[in-house]
Amino acid sequence: MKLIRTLAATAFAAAFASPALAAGEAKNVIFFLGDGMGPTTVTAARIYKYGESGKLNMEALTRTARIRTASLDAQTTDSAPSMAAYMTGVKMNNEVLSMSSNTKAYDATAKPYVSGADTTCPANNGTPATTLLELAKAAGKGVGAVTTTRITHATPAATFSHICHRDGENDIAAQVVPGSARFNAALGSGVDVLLGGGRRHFLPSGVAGSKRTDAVDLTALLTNAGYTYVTTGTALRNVNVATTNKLVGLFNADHLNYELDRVKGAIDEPSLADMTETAVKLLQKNSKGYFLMVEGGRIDHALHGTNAKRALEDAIAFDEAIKRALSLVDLKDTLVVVTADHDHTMTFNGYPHRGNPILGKVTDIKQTRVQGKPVLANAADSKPYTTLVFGNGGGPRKASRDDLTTVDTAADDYLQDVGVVLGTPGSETHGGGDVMLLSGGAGNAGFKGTLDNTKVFGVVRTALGL
Amino acid sequence: MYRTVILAAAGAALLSGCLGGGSSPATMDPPKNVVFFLGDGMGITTLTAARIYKVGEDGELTIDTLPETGFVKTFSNNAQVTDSAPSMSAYMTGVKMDNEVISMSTETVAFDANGNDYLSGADSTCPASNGKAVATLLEIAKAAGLGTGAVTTTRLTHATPAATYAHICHRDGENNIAAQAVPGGAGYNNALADGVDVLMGGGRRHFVPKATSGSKRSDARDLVAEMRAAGYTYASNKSEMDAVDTKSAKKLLGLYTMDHMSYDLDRDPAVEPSLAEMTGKAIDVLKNNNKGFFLMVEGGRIDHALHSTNARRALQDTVAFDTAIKTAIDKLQAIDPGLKNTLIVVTADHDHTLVLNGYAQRTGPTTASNPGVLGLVKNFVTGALNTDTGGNPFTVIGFGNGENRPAARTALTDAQVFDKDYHQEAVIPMPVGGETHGGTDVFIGAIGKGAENFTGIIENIQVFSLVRKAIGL
Repeated sequence: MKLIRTLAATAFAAAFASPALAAGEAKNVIFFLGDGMGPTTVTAARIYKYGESGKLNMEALTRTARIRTASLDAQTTDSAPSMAAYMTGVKMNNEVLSMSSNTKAYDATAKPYVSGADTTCPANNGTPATTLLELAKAAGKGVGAVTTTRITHATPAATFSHICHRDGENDIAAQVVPGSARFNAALGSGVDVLLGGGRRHFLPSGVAGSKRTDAVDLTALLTNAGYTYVTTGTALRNVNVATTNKLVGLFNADHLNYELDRVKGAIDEPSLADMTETAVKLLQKNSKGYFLMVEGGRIDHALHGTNAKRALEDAIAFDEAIKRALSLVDLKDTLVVVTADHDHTMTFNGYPHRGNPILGKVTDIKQTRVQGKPVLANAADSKPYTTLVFGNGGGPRKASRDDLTTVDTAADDYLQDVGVVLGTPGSETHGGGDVMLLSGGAGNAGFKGTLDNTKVFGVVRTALGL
Repeated sequence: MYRTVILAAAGAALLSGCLGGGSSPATMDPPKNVVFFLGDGMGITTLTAARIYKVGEDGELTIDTLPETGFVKTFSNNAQVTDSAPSMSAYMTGVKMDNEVISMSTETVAFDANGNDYLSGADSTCPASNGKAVATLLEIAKAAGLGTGAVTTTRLTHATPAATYAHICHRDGENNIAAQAVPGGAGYNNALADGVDVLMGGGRRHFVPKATSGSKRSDARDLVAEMRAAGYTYASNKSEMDAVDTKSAKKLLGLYTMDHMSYDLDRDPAVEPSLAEMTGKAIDVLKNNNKGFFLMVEGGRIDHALHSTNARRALQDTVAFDTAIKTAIDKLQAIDPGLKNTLIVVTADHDHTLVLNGYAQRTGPTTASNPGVLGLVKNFVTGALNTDTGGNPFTVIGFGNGENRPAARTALTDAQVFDKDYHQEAVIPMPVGGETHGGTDVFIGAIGKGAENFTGIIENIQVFSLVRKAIGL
């Protein structure tokens, strides 16, 4: 009888533990976005840090979905409409941030609506689409955006601003500053935590390195609005979370440094994990809960540069931020989502032996065993080749490939081979392949199957009961 | 009120659980079925490309409708990038093994200390002391009295199907693999008891005696004749398959070609059945088993077309594979509404090096007049061709390595790259057909009983237990 009662109780609990989608299960959401972190980058980062059979920290999130990333006008999306799809549930054109589907980023002559970093979006060009961050703010929750890029870059901008072309970063900055003429009123009292780079879009035009075209000092306006303003890793560490209500950290005029350079150069910028920790602790003070977006934004930049090493280092730094967050939250009331906005064209050649460095050259499995040491495999041109290569990129691409036999392909600045040369390093494109989504915690039951990126918005919104 | 209903339901479940527990031998468990779909080399980018090819960016393939998604790590015991032998074997046995090895213990090696493969032509030279056989899902199902089957578009003796019913230290010993499937013959795999109930695919060359033109056998055995003698109905083409009475045929062997079956793009539908047709026929035979069945279906030539960097045939074969999944789901929903006792799993054994270049305008599905994803990259604002630094257009689909790596790129046209025999460009040059597998995690999807456990990022060897657990094997 006791057994039967226990089993019945278990069945009872199970019936309530896995409802299709219980609204309002999650009090808090942390949305992690690995920019450009396609499946190949996830696999390579795992092998880079933990080996083939190891696990990334994000693998602790075991409810998974496959995400389709096409934008409204492009098979290959950029970060603006893809992050905006997650944040608003609306499909929009490339370059557009959190606006209605009919918004255009280019005029009839294919000229983008931007002049330098100033927007030239006409007034009748689409309407703002509400973001998860705005919904959370309206519900009284704490809200934050953390990134390793400029805080005005597409991914973070999609959480708190609305613009027809992502490159109008001066305007995006103004949208997040309470008291500025362009403040986005849907942010209420303002975003509670903003951490990243991009001072150049906040400082007045007279200041060295500024990209602004006016004399407005947005950092002063933020301070006036009650923000604590910090610009170094040291200053961030010294922030007293207990007495700080609003925090803005702009740690670089441009993007933050790549993780590899930050560590090697002992640069006084915070790690993504440290920024995440401060943001979570500050937001946890809000009794109504919080919405936090954390971006590993420079995975994408290193991939554009076909510099796999920096991409994998930044992917690991992103994974460390996930680990830190998981150590600070209770998954019973917190939803943690990890995904990417799009793929890249990095691919993983065969057939290296198990244990071969992921940044190395492909080995011959058989000869490696027979000779008891790594033996390189050759391509049809009788030259070795790296495990990781890119479909396109900055090159150089030569008629006859360089012989890599004595080249250290794991060097910091080594750039992998590319198939199609599109310009200088940095020009590698995004890829159109589906990406992974991993989730854990409250309200994650809807993350399953194959989802269009716009569907992610609804699952998070429902989880928060908003 | 809700509470009461739930408790009552739990009580009822307990009651039936007690009855099913053996106190009443007359109680019949419902038939339990598993269909395991394996798209050979069908990595995540191939899935995206196949979707766009068939139904456009916003469309849904049957694979896209599977309610559960997981991702699978595919490395083998000795390789970062696996081949199909240990990866399919990992799914079928739960054991990690070396490249080239099929359903054997981990310590099994495929070549000797000098690097010579344990092979002579298509005959195995595996020494007796080289590892031992490990039980496969198909063998476990057979032992439990379920019907069993393996269907493929490759030779029936190729790595993927072989991993369900054979054990060998090197996959290329296909004559031995064939013999392992022949009940009562020399070299038979006794764990198959009375034999695999349905076997269909290509590969007659390993079953017919060496005197027969095209045979790869080195002996005079006629394995087709031996299987007929063992009770198999034999079909050698589409019409013979169609003629098989699924009510009376206990065992079915279909060998439709000497070598692999044709790519779907090249297939003569009057001669060779489609993968969907074979799948439907297999289910019709196997559903007669009142305990249920285990069926493996491979879309095996997706991999071959990718090795040739011939995206068009790869995508067409992926779509043919997807159609077979639809056939299976539809048939099984009719047999077991709601798939309460049926698990359907869809996965790949490994990735390839196919990439999708940007930034392409939406292409929509491929039609007679629109190359779609097979075409050149067009600017998403203007629709004009995007070009490289030399002014030459490039295709959406590229490969990390492969046979077409021009010294200098040329001015490609859509007509050129849409040709069915076009081989996409690659970063690293390889011999003809020599594009390699990729090392990236692959997709696994599931529907039906126990499908919800196919989630997270898992190792390929874990899939074995998830399938077993789902149907209580």
